[in-house]
Amino acid sequence: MVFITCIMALVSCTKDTVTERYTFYRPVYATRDQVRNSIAAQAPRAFEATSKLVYWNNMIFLVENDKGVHVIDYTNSSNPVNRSFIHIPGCRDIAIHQSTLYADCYTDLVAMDITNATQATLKSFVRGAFPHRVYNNTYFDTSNIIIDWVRVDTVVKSDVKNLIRNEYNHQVIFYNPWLSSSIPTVATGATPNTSGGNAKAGSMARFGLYNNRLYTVSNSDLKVFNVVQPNQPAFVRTVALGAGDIETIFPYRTQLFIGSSTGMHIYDATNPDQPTRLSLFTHARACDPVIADGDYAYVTLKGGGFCGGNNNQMDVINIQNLTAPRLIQSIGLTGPSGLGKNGNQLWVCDATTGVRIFDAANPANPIEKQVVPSLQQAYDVIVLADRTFISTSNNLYCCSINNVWQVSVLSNLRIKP
Amino acid sequence: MRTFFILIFMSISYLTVNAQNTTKQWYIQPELGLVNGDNQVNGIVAVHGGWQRQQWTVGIGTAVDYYQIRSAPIYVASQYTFSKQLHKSPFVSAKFGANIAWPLATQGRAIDYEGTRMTNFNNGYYGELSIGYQWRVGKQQYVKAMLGYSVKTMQEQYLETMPSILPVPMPPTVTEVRSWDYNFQRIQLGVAFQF
Repeated sequence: MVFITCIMALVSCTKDTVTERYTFYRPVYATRDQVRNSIAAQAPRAFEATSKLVYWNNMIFLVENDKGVHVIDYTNSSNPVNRSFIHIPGCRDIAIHQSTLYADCYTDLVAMDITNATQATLKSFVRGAFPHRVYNNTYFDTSNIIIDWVRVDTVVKSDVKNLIRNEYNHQVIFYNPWLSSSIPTVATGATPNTSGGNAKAGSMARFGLYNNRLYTVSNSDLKVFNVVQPNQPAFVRTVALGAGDIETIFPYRTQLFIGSSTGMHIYDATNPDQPTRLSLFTHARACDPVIADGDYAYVTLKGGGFCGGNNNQMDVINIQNLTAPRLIQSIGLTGPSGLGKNGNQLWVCDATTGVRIFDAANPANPIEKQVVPSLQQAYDVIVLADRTFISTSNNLYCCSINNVWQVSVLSNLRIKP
Repeated sequence: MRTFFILIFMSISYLTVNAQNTTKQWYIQPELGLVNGDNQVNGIVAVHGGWQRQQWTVGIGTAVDYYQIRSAPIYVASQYTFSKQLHKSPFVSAKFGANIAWPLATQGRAIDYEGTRMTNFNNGYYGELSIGYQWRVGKQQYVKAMLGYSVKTMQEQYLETMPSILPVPMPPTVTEVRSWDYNFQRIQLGVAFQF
């Protein structure tokens, strides 16, 4: 009897349990009106991440993805002052024309008057300008917008027999920014056309300005907005680019240089409302921002990651004949991203190597003059005549360079830890 | 459960150390067993060796436990025989130690959106409490039959990569740890030969 009792007692205790711990991200929704009403200038705040940047009127407008734009006053380069934060949910790209800031707000385009950057005011709101900006698998431009994601640590205790092992049991709600980035942004480097004003943007931009037009590129198309009235951007047309891997746009002279992960597209914008394709310079698959200056274009190729490929180099391309761009040379690099040029200075962000500075006195044959290893993981760069702004994964630097190619860091703003 | 086994072990150790009987010898005890949980029946092969002193034994041992996820426990083992007539007597035994994860090649895989990947295992603990009966079959040789209850734990985990919800530029993905803490509780039926 005792033996049987023991058996029964033990049988009731044979429970195989498993405690599963995992993390997923839960979306936070808001209505379109709530999003629109929240767009406003706010008190300055420390930035938690860096991304694209635009220089305008001694100020850097630094995008913090999906949050908004930090306005940093560089009147004194050694002592920058964080002036304000323009809250624009869903913002990934910006452009500045005269005193109007254009930004994407999820699927919409917003125009804000920044005459007084600390008191930026919303002027217009173009709905559905960027319909391709979707939350992959979970969201497609409905009346609700995902404005944030909350990290959720989860613990689930269950019987082992309920655990679905070796099967797809991912519980994360994805947001693939690359697929959704069929959205706009701005460009610069050499001296891109900015349609008046003195704004310059980085080479990673998806927004570009030329001849009172705002051009935006998604993964596959080019959109044209008429900004003759800066505060009232008007959608003109969509131009299919015949590719699905578009990354950046760089307006220069009357052309639009469009970077994709397989090549550089050149479009003629003589008729600003109807850009037409001139040529396509193909290269190995890689992430590829492009800038142009004079008769040459410079394209950095970064292999690996979401762009694919394994080339890491800078291509120097002769664009004297815009219908037949010709590769002059390729310069081996570590893992380049943004680049910028001013006069003879050509700055290239190059992953863990830091920032490389080339003397492009002979534009066909840039000579490396300096490497700044302290500027590691640089993402984008704006090169002005007297100073250079560099966004890295954790910092926003302002640097100067002297005539013997020595770089001095004038200031360094670090992201909030 | 861990506290319970610690108390059992300490009690047995205390009694062992304080045993007054002077009868003593070295021994080795291989074992074969079946473990039966709520999901499967599987086998366990074990051996331990140590020191016998009158009604008490204490030793160290190891095993290969195939239940659910293969592992190799290493433990301290102890036995108390109720009768001083050791040739035929009931006994209780206990084992407690570490459960070393040793998964088969077919175990330890998870699939996420990037495909199949191998997982990593962390060790846990092992505990066993049994009652049994032993028969002396030769000088200092015993055959034993045992019925017990055992617990083994371990953790499986891997770094789960998912498309970023964080801002581009870098990095394009985020990585989180996904883990499973297993607790396997089984009835154990075994035979052993002590010599």
